[in-house]
Formats: sequence, C-alpha cells, structure tokens
Amino acid sequence: MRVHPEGARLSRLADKTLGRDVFGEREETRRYVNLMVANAKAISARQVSAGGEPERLELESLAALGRESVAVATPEDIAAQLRRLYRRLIGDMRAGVLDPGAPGHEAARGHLVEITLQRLGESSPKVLENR
Amino acid sequence: MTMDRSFLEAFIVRAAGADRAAVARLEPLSGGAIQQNFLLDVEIAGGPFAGSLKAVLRTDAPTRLAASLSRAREFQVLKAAHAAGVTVPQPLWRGGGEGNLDFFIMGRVAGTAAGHKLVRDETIAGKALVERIGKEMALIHAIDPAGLDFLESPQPSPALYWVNRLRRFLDEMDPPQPVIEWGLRWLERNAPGPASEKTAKRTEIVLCHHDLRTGNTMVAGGELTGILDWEFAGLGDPMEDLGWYCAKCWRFGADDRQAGGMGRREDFYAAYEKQSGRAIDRQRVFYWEVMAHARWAVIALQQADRFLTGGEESLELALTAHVVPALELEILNMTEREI
Repeated sequence: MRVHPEGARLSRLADKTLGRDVFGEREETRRYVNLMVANAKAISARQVSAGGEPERLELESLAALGRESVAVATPEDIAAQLRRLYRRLIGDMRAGVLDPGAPGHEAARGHLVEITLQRLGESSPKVLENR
Repeated sequence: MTMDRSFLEAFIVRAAGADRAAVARLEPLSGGAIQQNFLLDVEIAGGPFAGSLKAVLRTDAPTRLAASLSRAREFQVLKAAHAAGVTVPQPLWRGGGEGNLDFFIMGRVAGTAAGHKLVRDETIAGKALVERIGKEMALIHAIDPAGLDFLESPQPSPALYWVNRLRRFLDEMDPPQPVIEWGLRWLERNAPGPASEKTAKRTEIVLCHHDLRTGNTMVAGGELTGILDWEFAGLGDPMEDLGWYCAKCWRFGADDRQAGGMGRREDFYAAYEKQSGRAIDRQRVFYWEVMAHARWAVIALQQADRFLTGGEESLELALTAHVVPALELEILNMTEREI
C-alpha cells in the first residue's frame, strides 16, 4: 500500500504551507520549508504519474500468496482488500507460519521486496539510484 | 506554547532566586519534531545566576509520542547524567503545570547537531569524535538508575520488550505495515537474552539513552559539547545504544563511516570497551541495528500520525512517513539471514 499521507494530501498540505507567511523566519528555516514543499510535490507527481496500477498489481501479487482470487472495481475496493489481506499476512508472520524453511517464506519475502521497491520509487527514488 | 514572557520571567525570578529577570529573546529552534525547543536569553539581576543567561527552554509539542518521557522525567534523567559527568547541557529548572505546558530550562551549548552538516564536515568527522562518543556512552551506561525508579523494566528481555511494544504501536495504526512486521518477527526469532532459546547469555540491564545518534550530539570545533534529547531514555541492553548509534539509518548518507557517519566503528567500539570494561558483542550490536531500523520506522509512522489523526498540520511530520520505505529496504536486506 502507498505510504500515508498519500501524494494528493501531501500536495494540499504543501500548498497550505507555502501560503503561510514564512518571510519572518530565518533564512535557514525558509530554505528548509522550500525543500519540504518541493519534496511533497515531487512525491505527489510521481504518484499521479503511476496512477492506480501499482496498487492493483500489489493486490494481485498479495492475493496469489494466499491463493485467493479477488474481484475489485474501485480504488477503494483495492485499498480495503489490501488492508484485509495484509492483516491476515501479518497474523501468519506472527504465528511463525512464514518463518525460514516454511513453504511460503520465499514468496512472501519476494512480495515484500517488490512492494518496498515500488514505495521507494515514489517516496525516495534517490535511495534506489544509490543502490 | 501557552506561557508568555511575564510568566516566564516570574518563574525564573523564583527558580533562580533573583530580584528581576527580563527575557531578551525567546524563539523556536529548528529540529526537535517531537519536543519543542526555544532559544532563551535572559538578563538576570540578583541571586546566584545574576548576569546574561543563555539557555534553551524545552517543552512538549502539541501531541507527544507514547514512548517518550514527560518533561519532568526527562529533566530527572538529564540531572542524573549531568551528575555522572556525561557531557550534557546543564539542567537548570523545571516548571509547568496549572494550565501551562511542562517545560524545563537548561544551559545552551555551542555548536551544531545537524546530522547532514556534521557528516559532510571533514574537519569534524573522525577518530577523536567517535572515541569521545564511545566514552560518553559508557559513562551513561554506568549511571546508577536507582534514583530513576519511574523507568520501566524491559520484560521479559529488552529485545522482546521492544518487539512487543512496537507491535502494539503498529496494531493501533492504519494501514498495516507488513515489512516492519517481517522485521519484528525476525527480531523475535533472533532475540538475545534470557528468553532466547539460542543462548543462555544473560542480558545486562543499564540506563540507555535510546536516541544517542548523530543529530543528537552537539559538536563545536570538532569537540562534543553536549548529548541532547533524553526523552527516550530507559533501561535496556547496553548494546542497544551501540546499535542505534551505528545503524545505517543514522549515518546521513556517510555509509562508509559506520559509527554514526562520523568515524570507524572499531575506534568507537575500542573507546567504549576501554571506558566501560565491557566487551562488545558484535553480533548483538547487529541485532540492535535491525531493531533500530524497525524502531525508527515506527517512530516515523507515529510522527506522520500526528498529522493524519492528531490534527497537527505540519508538512515535516507528514513527510516523515516517506522515510519508511528506505528503512524497510534495509530491514529486508539485514534479515535475509538468521543470527
């Protein structure tokens, strides 16, 4: 799932932050605020560009881990199903069902790596560039 | 902050045994997303503090993290550290209550704590600084916590205490965090201490700073001038603090300098071992480095939650959640093998 707050909300908050009077602040503070605003806008732009496809693919991959088939129509459906299936996956993790040596261990780890790279690509792509 | 200058001046007159106090400057300092710090200059007439006082006033942010100490308790820990000879700002007075936020005032120390600046300054980073921090950490771990009886005992072991605690925090959050949970399960399986099936090694329990890292170490002219931010102090495994200081997430990009992005891990370890007389368990430090990433990820989510559900309209808090994927990638990499 996308990192919360998602891009659209971040972008609105960035607009509000820009609207505040920061001219009374110290130069260092103003520069810091501008960097934060630019970062928020960039995260938002990357999410808009990616659209809903990453979460749809994430749900497909997650459902396959649990050998489930899920039918979804809207982004809200996708979010709700992701929540439900992740809660179940976490329950399995805590119960030790996905520990090393267990049948689902490698597939679960592979899924987590994929979604982490996807989230990184939206939140901090520089980390990926520096890998 | 609900206190005004006249309130503060009256407080300082009482606390400092002065005739008069005039606040010359009171302005917010950058940093300290969890607590609020204010630069405070006061002209004091009469009493033992007569003259110009350069201080920092530290108070609660509008919402506070569940894991952090109150200002009153943080002040007690700071006093204990000061008394033990740890390099910290001088604790002065504590106030608050009766409709005012809790706060305390401490002496102001020179320098900068900004991690991204410190790791880029080649005149600062190096052997001497990490040796000094290793020594200071050993001094902290030698503090007798008997007078700090409000500190929770980490049961059933420091490691499992944190696993359980972080899971409780995650249970209260939305959305679910499967990667951090993956790390927590690894931390549970590999937990050292009495509860571990793998080792009978006993875990020593000491006073830990729990946030001693580059960013909370004030440095001026290459010298450590103060260890800051004691709000997470608690009892724990001494290797916790070593792991936190060395964790990759606190190197501010200077990954080749494994001790806080400031120097060599072995120089830091050697100074700690010399001062403490305690041998460092390197594997256990690695364990606590994994924990550091999980713990910082949960703190980052809690910070964002102050915006998402706590109503604090702060872009800084909101953006903190977006450091989490980088932490998660480290967690996945570090937990590929068991220890």
